[in-house]
Amino acid sequence: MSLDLARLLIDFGFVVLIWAVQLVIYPSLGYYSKYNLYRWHRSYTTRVTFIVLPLMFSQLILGTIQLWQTQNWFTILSAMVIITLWLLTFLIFVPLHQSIDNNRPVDNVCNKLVIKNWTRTVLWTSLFIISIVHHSLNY
Amino acid sequence: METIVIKYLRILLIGFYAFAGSYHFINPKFYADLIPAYLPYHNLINYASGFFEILLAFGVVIPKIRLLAVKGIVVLLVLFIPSHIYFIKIGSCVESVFCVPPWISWGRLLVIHPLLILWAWGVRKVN
Repeated sequence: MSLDLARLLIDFGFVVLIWAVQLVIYPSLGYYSKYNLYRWHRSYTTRVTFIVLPLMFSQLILGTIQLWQTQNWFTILSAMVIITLWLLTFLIFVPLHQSIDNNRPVDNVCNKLVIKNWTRTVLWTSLFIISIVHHSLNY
Repeated sequence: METIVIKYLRILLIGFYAFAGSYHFINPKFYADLIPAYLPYHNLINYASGFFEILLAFGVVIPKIRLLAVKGIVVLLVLFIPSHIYFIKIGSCVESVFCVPPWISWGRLLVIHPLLILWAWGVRKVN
């Protein structure tokens, strides 16, 4: 399997995942009582990490190798979007989730998750689009 | 205590970007060969980088737009990553400017650059 195909598969996985998070998981968090949210969310973060972290690492490693091998519009744009997604995830989303896990949720946390996550939804969808455009141009 | 540290880090950051931005205009030749060869409009890229560094440094001064300016600096730093990779690819050496051992340019990409991003993000608080 070529690196490009592996990238396409990971990017597709992310599109499905992020839209499920954006349209189903994050909005559902707003329907919990404060106590139930706290209880469920601690379990949620551990479970979702098993899905998200391997995908994020695969995407970062593949993007890095592709950029190292060739510098073109696809590899440069991909690398910059991937790095932006890592920054957004660890500087904005992880602290928001941690505030729920620590039972000190920031104001309006569920709404903030939904609104802010549109950025990641757009970026991960764009990655899949550029990956599929690159693939159809080259194979 | 934490507030004072952030305040000093913020002042330092403002000075750093104001100087770095100005240097794009003072000595444009310094950056000429550091801009990847595969990109077009080298002069425009060089001056635009300098202009935005200065603009964003001033943005950080103003509390009302500080968060936006900090986000701008993070975006700018992400945009500079291809240039750091390019520098490693060409052997960490631009004869007209400087040559460094490869571990320095790797360190800049993998350690210094993330620290620059964290530094900018760390001073985003309004007060």
